[in-house]
Amino acid sequence: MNLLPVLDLGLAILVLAVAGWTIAAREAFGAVVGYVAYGLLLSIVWVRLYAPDVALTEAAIGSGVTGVLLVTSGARLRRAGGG
Amino acid sequence: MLAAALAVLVAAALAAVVLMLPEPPPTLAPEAREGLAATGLGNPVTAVLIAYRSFDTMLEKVVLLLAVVGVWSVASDRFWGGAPAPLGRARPQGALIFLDQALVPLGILVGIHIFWVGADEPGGAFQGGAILAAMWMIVMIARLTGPPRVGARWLRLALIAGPAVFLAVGLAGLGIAGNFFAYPAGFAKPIILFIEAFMVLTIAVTLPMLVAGPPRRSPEP
Repeated sequence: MNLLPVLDLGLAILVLAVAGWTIAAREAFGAVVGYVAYGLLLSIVWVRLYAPDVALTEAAIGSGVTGVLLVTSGARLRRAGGG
Repeated sequence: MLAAALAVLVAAALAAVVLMLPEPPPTLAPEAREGLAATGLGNPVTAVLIAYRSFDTMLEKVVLLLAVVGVWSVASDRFWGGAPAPLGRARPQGALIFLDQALVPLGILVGIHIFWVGADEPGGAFQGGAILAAMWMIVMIARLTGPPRVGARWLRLALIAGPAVFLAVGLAGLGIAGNFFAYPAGFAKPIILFIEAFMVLTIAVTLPMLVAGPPRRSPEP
């Protein structure tokens, strides 16, 4: 029995679930954590689509740098009393 | 409510486009692979980025530079030339410092490796540079070093090194290989790695400066 299609299906469900959770999160910091997790899952999707170059970029830029930027802006917003 | 409706509409339109793709989907992959021999590279993605559409990649680096200029432009006049606010907590936890000591030497090695193998395997200048940038950021977050003054000469040089070398090589191609951004036959790969090395430096410096934000300290007297 081939396990890969099952794993792919599980990955797809996980990506959708994390995406939904990120949108529904009430707190800015929680949403950022969800977004970073979503980016890392997405880079696994890219690996499964045979695009390792895109996966590396997604993990480094989409999840890493953007995540840090969002965490920083979230902290600034909290200090400014905006959320 | 309106935003939600718009988001659903965009998602539906995207899904429709994906479902209506012709079978087999149009691809330029065979053409990208065909030209590989002329570049001396083994990774078609790197060939697309630094050879086939090198001008676009150079402009992307200029866009990154403009982003840094944009961030710096919100600084107040009295801080101009000074350093951005330090990242992280005033008193970092011991675990974070330990993580830095364990991870950063390894991470620097991995970053340079990703750049180097990018010529033949998945990887490349942007990914390698991003890993180096991450290493510098976690060192700054642990307060082992502070963000540099935005007026520092070495910082300015590092920020422009990538696009400047790229553009210089492109202009040299006009005289040597007969066309703007043309690489001389047989020398393409070393030239590509030369350009990429400077791009790695620029990316490794640009991304942390975007995260560090505008200068918030007076420049030293």
